[in-house]
Amino acid sequence: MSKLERVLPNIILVGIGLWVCFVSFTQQSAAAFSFPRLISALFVIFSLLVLGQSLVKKDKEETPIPAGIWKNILPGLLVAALYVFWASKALGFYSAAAITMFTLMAIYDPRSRKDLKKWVKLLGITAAFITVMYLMFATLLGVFTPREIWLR
Amino acid sequence: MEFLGYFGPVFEPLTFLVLIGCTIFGLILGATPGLSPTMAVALAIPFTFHAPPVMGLVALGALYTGTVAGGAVSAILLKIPGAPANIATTLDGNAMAEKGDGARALQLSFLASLIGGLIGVCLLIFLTPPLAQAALSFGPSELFWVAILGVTVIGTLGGGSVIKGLLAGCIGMWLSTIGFDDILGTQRFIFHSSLGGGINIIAALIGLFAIPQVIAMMEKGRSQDQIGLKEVRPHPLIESIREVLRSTRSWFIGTVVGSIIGLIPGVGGQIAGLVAYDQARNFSKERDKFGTGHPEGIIAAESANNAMVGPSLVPLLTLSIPGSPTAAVLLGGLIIHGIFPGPDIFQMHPQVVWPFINSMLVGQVLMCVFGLMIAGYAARIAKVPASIMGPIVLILAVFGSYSVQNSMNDVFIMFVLGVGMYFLERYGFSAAPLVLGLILGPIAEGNFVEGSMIAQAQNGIFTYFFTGTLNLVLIFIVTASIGYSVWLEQRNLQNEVLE
Repeated sequence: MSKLERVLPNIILVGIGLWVCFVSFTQQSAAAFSFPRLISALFVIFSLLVLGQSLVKKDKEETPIPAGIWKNILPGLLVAALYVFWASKALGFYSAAAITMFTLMAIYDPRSRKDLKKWVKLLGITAAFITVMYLMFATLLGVFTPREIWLR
Repeated sequence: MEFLGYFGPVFEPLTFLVLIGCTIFGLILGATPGLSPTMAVALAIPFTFHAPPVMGLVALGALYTGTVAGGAVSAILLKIPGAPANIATTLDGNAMAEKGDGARALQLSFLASLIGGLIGVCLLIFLTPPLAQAALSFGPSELFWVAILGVTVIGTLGGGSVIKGLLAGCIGMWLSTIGFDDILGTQRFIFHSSLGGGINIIAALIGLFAIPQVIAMMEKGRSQDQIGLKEVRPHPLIESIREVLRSTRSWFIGTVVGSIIGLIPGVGGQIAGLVAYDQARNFSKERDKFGTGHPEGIIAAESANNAMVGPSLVPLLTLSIPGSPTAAVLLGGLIIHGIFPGPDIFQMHPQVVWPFINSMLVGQVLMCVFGLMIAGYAARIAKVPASIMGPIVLILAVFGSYSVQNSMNDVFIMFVLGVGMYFLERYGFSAAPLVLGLILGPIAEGNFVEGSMIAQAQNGIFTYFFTGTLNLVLIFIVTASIGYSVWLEQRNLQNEVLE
């Protein structure tokens, strides 16, 4: 992990700390911000200390994210983000969950993509899991979820 | 002996069924590598949200007990600790499994867990009420310092960088202030409309513990490690019982170490097993056999892991200071059921708290019985590949966080916090102090504001918060815990440089 990689997140944390501190000390009413003022001051102090530490030495708990891992994470993260921020509301909760689950399993399943059994198995797992989720949340707990796209 | 009068609700048919179901489910979850007790309890909280408080808390307690014990299955048979707490079990447990003694190792593990767990819960039963009575003398200033103590100890004793632990605690406390101020109704830090209702603790808990695990499962990509499952040959149970009863020294050391570590807020079960294993080896006549498949190693480690469970709830129930990260998540579970832990918990909610504690006592026995029955099968479930487990955890996290308030905002917050936590973990931060800051933030703020009002009517803020025996003792403990951790960190650093 290069020094810049090590220091950059801590600079961002210091920035957030300073913003929290600025808001706490400038917004009204003062009484409502008395506790945030105390916390934000400590936030800035600790984030500066962490930044100072990262400039001097490497923390043994830090584990870099190699470029290869990004290649593995990004497709899944993108699918998950689409599911959370768009699909669950646009397509309906259960439909989106089923599509997301199947897509993620298809992306990360190690078996050959030409293996027909694999696709049948993944479809079966998805159907079984979503049925359990539906029975649990919609039937048992009575949770109201965004309407499914084919019911509109 | 007040607790004896509250066994009835535990044995009500539906509650007892939930207790059995969650114990078995906990054993299976615990046996699954990557699903820690903390994450399992965090994911389960939304399911208990709609249940009556007793049933909901019984479910969470059973999951906690089951997952801690279940972690031994994969540690022994797959050499993958189900949770960090089971690392010590891997040392001798897997060595025994390699020799074909997997069944014996599992039996020893569950029997030792039973002994440690029962003694631990008894400590919870007998230590909590007197400690709660003593804590009744706490006023706003003391309760403020207790909340700060909770965040600092879990931040400083987590094993990583002290400053990063404290910074994570501060971030958690800041996150808890987002939304509308409880007293004046002032908007605070609402820089996006989804933050208008503040940050829901349960959604945050799920995100902070579950999403980093999901992303970690994605890291491997399509290259999955092939896990070799050991053959589990039958072994007479009675022989294992005799063996555990003969190994008094091992389970005694494990139970004592686990109980003490559980009582210390913030330390958690992650080190209980390792410390107990080390001590059992030091006091053993056959210390050379440790690490080669010695039963004493498994007995000490597993009795310590489970002995920690009960005592870790003592500071949680009396002072709102969790003894472990899982106890911190349980604190969230208690709060959503309207149970605010504190000195008056046994006066305000005896009908909920005592059945909860009693269910943990019964749960220990169930854990052992079902653990012995399903051990071999649980190991097969533990082989569920990350490509299936990751999406399941993600969808559970989304459904769980949504169901708390039927709000998509909670899902967004859960996901954003989770992704943020993944990167913070990469830079040496831990989720536990952040979560604790989030949970204890409102308690600290409430007492800070109340104390400030009292102070203004009396001798001023400094006199109110910084004088008085209890305040000074608490400030001393806060300072000492930070100072000790900094010293420890520096010493380790010097040792590393010398090496």
